[in-house]
This record gives sequence, structure tokens and C-alpha cells, in this order.
Amino acid sequence: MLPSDWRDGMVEMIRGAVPASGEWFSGNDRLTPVEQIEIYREQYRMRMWDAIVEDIPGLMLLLDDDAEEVLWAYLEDCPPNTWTLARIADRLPEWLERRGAPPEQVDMARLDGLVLEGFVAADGPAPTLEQLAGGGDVALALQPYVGLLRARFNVHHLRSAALAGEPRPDLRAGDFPVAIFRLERQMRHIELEPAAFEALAAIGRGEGLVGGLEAAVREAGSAEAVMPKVSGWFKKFVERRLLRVG
Amino acid sequence: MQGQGRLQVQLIVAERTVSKFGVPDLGIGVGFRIPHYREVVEQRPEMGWFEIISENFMVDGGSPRYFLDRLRDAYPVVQHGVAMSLGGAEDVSHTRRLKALAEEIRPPWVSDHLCFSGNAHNRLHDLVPLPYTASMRDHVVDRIRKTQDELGLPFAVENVSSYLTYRDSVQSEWDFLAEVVERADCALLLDVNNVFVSACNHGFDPMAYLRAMPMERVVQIHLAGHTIKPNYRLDTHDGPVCDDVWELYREAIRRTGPVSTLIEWDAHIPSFERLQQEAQLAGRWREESLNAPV
Repeated sequence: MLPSDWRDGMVEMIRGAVPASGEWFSGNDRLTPVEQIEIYREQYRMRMWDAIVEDIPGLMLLLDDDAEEVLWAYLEDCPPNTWTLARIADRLPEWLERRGAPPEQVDMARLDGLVLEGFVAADGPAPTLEQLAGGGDVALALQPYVGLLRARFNVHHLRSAALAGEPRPDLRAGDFPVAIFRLERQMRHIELEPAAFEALAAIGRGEGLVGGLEAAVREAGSAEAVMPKVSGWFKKFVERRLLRVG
Repeated sequence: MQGQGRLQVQLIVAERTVSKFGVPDLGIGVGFRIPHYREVVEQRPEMGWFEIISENFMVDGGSPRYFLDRLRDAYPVVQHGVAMSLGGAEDVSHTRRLKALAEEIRPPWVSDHLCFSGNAHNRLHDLVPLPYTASMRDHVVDRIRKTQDELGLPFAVENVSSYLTYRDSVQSEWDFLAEVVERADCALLLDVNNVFVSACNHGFDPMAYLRAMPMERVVQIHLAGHTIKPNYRLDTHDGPVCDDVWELYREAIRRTGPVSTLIEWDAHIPSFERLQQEAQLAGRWREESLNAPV
């Protein structure tokens, strides 16, 4: 007889957390009870693998021969817990970090995640340059599809080149402030000056235009270093629709 | 708009017919899949209607919503879900997003599967069959009723393909399904390929299944291809509909009368032109069967 918690048992069995058991199944003249449940276990593994690999094209470049071991360990620790498979890799960057993975892998996993999030995020009304020039009373925020990554390696270069079928650049360590955004339904990225990146990050935290400028000054070390560049930065932000009003 | 041919004519005629649930017969449709998004919205090829996988469009924006908006401008669209897990507990966040999408696109009906897909902590993203017991029947009837109330739209449950059977089941799948839809007073999405796949896997007569169905509740039929494995058949949606399933479809549509029919092709997705050919074949079988003497 099925126990009251059979659903939990089925989930654990199908995802491979416990061995297959035929106790609950009847089988037939071609399949034993264990072979019946094995079909679901095999399908689960195929589906999870296809889903996660599709969502992390950048990280797959770095994992290489370790991909199976790393990703199955992740899926065992963090099995899908929402109704959408599109979020299967959501917890991967933090999981990699906890596991002590190389920083370039963590950064690449974050980049993959920001691309996925941005692809299906909402958008809102974008400000014009005239509105921004008009003063500090424009309530600014980041467009929901914008993601910010201060990467420790040039993972964005590697990812873009590989996906475009171009020669892959070598990975190099450094400070790479990158904004990931959507334009005309395509995900793109732009590398920014650290101070410009921090201005965007502050706007993203809800600190508005003034807070953004203050953050840029803090990053650059002086107002004199920032002010001549501000109009150029915001022109870039507006052209790429990184900002939204309200 | 392109598509002044036979399928469009069929759509117009068909919309005069309504089922028990007051939903239109949309004729023959296909699933709206990524490789065809651009071609479909830009060229508007001949097709009676499209079915979307609800969960793929339960997002805030971007490409999926862009193409869905344009699809709705040109074709009737029906929502079909894969994550409701009627055999499990309700996921309130799923229901909220599903309802928001349905309120926005106002499909004539919404559907999902009579199955189980996970528990509160883990989602299997599969359509696992249910044990056919009285307690499970009561559970899914309750879930379906609540879903219908929540959505405010006709809700259809679909039979799944299955590869296992439970020792605890006290009913056949068809008796269980018929009882569920009667008690819940919901519509039925009859997947003829799933009937055939499960019949082969479990050794029952697919015609007995059809005979047990409350055909007046069927608002939609699914057709698809499947894969033959050494000891079982797998519902893969990766090829054309096989002859046995066409034969079963002809019998099903003869019994239901004119109801919307959909071709599912989700893996090894062919050109849209090839998909249209499959839809046209469905249309021919449908017309022949509906016009055949009873």
C-alpha cells in the first residue's frame, strides 16, 4: 500500500536520491516494476542535463571535462524547486562559490544567469537625455533586464566569442565592470569604467541620479575625475536603454 | 493576412460550433515553438490556431512576450500547461502567474495534465502518472474545481502517456479519468497519442479507452509522434503521427464531433511547412471522419 508520503518518495526515487525500488509498481510482461520506474529516472536525468546545459553556455566552456561531475553534484544539492525549468541554474553561482570553485567559473555562472534573467524581464519607459539634463527630479531606476557584474576575469569576452563562433580569447584576470542588457530582444553587454559601473549600481539600488553620481565620485576618488565624463556615460546609458523612469 | 485557404475557411465555419463548455471548434492547429516564432508572426502562414505552453510565456517581457503579442494579433491562441501537478499540492506562485497570463490573453480554454510533477521542495518537470484510487480522485477533483474557479475559464485535463502502473490502483486509467472529469465538471483534452502509447505499454485496448470517455466533454484533441523502444513506447513528440494513432484519431473525432485538434512536435522540430503538411493531413482525416456515415 502506498504510504501517505508517497509523493516525496516518488520524487526522491525519480531524481535518484534513493535507489530504485519496485515495491509500489506492478510491472507487466515486458517491464519489471523496477524497470518501470527506471524509465522515469532516466528521463529525469536527460531532461535535467539538457535544461542546465542549455542555460549555462558560458560556464560549459570553462567546465569542459569536469562538467558532468560538477553539474550533477549541483543538481543533487540543488534540485529544481520551482515550476519553471528556466531557473534550474539560479543557485549555481552561490553553490560554486561555496564549493570553492575558481572565480572565473563563479563569474561566468553569474553572467549566464544575468543573460537568462534579462532575456525575459520586463521593460519600462526609458528617459531621454533631455529629461536627464533637466535636473535631479527624474526618478531613475535600472531597466529590469539590466544586470551588473564586476567580473574578476574577462569571462564576457570568452562567452561572446565562443557563442559567435569566433576565436576564443585567453582568459585574463582583472577588473571588468560589465553591464548586461537587452536591446531589440537580444542580450548584449558593455564594459564600463569602474566609476560609471558604480553609478549604475547605485541607481539600481534605488539611490537615484544623485546617489549614482556620489557613488561614481567615491569610486574615482574625486569629483574632478568624474564630472567631465558624466554626460558621456549617461548618453551611453540612454542609447542602450539601461535606465528607466520611475 | 495570408492564409485564405482551406484551413482558414474551416476555422470560420468551425467557430459556429460550440461544445458543452461553450468553446469554439478552432479546426486544426499546431504548437507555437521557438524555431517557428519569427516565420509565423512575420509571414502569418495558413493555420487554424496555435497552442502555447503556458509556462514558457509566464514571464514579464522579452522575446517570448513579443512574439506572443504578435501571434495573438493573427491567430486564436490556447494555453496548455505542463507544471500544474494536479496530483500534488497547489503551487500558489504558479497559479498566480497562470491566471495573470490567462486574464491577459483570454484563451477560450486552458489545459494541463492529470499527473504529478513534484512536491513542495523538488520539481521533477515530468508528467508522472497517478495511482488510480478514491483518495487521489478526490484530491484532483478538488484541485481542478479550485483551478476552474480561480481562472474563470473552461479548464481541460489531459491524459498522459505512462510507463508505470501502481499496485494500489483500483480503477483503470479510463474509468478514473472519466470519473474525475464528471465529478469536477471540467473539460477533457484527449491526447490520442498518449492513449495509444499507454495502451501499448500496459496492454489495454485503446478503443476501450475511447469508449469510456465522456466525449461531450472533449474540447481538444492532441496528436503527436512517439518513439518505439525495445520494451515500451516513449512519448517524445519528435516525429510524425503514426498510422495507428491516425486510426485512433479518426475514431475519436467521429465520436466527439468537431473539436479543435492540435499537432504537437517538440523535438527534432521540422520546418513550418512540414508541420503544415501534418496539420493538413489531420484536417483531411478529420473531415473524412466527421462526414462518414455513423
